[in-house]
Amino acid sequence: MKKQYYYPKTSEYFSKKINRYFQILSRILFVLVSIIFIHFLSSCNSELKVIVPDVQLLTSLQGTSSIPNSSRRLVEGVYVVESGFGEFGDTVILKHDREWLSIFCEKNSSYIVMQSGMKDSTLYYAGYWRYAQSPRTGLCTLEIKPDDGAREILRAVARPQRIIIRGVFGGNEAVLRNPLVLRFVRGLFIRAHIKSDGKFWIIAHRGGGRNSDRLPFSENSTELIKFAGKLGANGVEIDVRLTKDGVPILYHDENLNTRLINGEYMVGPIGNYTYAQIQELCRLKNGERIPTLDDVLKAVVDSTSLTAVWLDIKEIAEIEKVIPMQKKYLERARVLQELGKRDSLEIFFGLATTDIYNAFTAHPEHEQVPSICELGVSQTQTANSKVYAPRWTLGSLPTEVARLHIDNRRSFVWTLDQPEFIVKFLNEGDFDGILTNYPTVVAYHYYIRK
Amino acid sequence: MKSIIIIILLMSGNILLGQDTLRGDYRIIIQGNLGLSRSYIQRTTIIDKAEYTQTGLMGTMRVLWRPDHLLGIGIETGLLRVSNLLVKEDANLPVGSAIKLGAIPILAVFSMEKYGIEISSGVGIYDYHVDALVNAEITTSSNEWEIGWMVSAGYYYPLTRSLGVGGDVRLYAIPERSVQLMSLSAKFQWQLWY
Repeated sequence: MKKQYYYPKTSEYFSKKINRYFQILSRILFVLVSIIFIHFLSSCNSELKVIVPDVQLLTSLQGTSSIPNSSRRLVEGVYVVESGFGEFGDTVILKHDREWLSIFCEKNSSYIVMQSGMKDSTLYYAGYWRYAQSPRTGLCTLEIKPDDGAREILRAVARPQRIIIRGVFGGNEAVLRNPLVLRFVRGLFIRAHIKSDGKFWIIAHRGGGRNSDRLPFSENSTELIKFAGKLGANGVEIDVRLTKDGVPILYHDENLNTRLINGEYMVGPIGNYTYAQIQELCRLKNGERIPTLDDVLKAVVDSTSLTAVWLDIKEIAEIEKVIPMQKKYLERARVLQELGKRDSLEIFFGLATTDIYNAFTAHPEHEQVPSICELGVSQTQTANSKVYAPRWTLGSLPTEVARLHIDNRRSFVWTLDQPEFIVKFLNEGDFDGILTNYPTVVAYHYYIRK
Repeated sequence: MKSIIIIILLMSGNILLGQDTLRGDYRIIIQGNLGLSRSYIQRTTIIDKAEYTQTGLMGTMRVLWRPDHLLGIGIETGLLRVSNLLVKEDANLPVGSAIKLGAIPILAVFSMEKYGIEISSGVGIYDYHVDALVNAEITTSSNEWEIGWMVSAGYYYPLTRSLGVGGDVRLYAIPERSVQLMSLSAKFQWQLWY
């Protein structure tokens, strides 16, 4: 007798069968919806590309020469926005990083990055503006005419009483229509703190910021580290990992993934690959090569005005590789400083975990190696770390920070991104630096202070 | 993320295996598939001169529990070849180096069969792995677990009461890696209980 595959065809089951099909259909629907849900959940890294406006469209810098450094400093300061406040707010901060001028704003956390030049006693600036936390961006040109203060600025004797900066901004078109007028109000805030020589460190996380904020360069790339100064940072935090053949490179995550790299043949832990394989088989998200620590420290010393590098060390095995490199570039920076070619530079070995701390303190030269300790004040003192770096959730820690200052150490708080918390920590704490993903926001709130 | 997937799978199981007072016979079915697959993957690796292959052999095995209604559940695993790269000329990598990208699916499968036509879907994880070979010797091997899914449609023709043959068209997807594989395979089926 042939066996029935499904329900026996009896009247007892017939009415139930239709209901059963409906149940099955609803279950299939549920499974399909689950699959679609999982697909979207696991592929939610949809690209939101921010196209950096083509500054070449702007012709105002053609035929200009470089503005002398002594004159650049006179342009820096707090300005009121007389026209254009709808986009940039009431007040802005102007700060130079070498020949680049950056403008930091409170409204929309926007900023403007511009190249500068001078011609016929007029100062010219051309670049682009964007929001720090959204993809809005566009072009901008500014100028300071001789009668608006440029003549006195170029004499570089003293800051003129009156500086007016006039210009236009818009989208990504060659003809810009929205007026932007800035008027100088006062100089930038300088910290009156004996222990830190008036310095305050704005340290850009992952070399300048995260990929999720669609910066023009990838996180932990040499290009972004060179750009960090234009974002208001005077220090960078970078992540160091070792390749299979022991080359220290910059990479944040333990595994190679599509958040950070392009390269379909790179799967799993970065430590499974040799440096040659990494160089050939993948690129960072914006097309840069994954840099070696050696290349990056060379770039910092030779091509930036950064004064601090915080090495986020991920593995114990890095100690023997990183410390000699740290010494080499500290010495190189010292020589350049003596020649007057750069400011001082500090390179800190990061002690983030107990394992790394124990291995570091077991190193015979650890007391001479500049380090940042995240574990506590007593560990900071034991390791002779120059800096204690608490997580921001621990609060402003007034007692601990005061104790560190007496001990001639410093304290950097990490990682502060929200403007309201940045203001709170600046006003209530006595930290010597802030680690942030948004150095432009910290720069505004720090330099605007009176 | 993982906990969300577990909850969904548990909920699916709970709904699929819900109350039923009048149950008929059930069957356990083992399916083996062998065929060709072609991957659709965004190529972002730049080698001076290399040969890429996106077509390769695939083999999978499925164990299904078919109760007395249309929908059966089971698990599937196997080996899928995603992409091969053979270095012909490069500044840093030895000529003749081969890099092989593959995936081993481990999927919960939901399957319906009627009149020999079978449609299935599955969710689960893939052991996504890469092997680098220089002179036929594996010099680097690395892997990562990725979430993914599969849908398939096929036909089954019984040869005996317990054995049959057929064919399947399947689409495998690993969204995190932006990888899709389309496969065409021959199916061999063995029915254990009936």
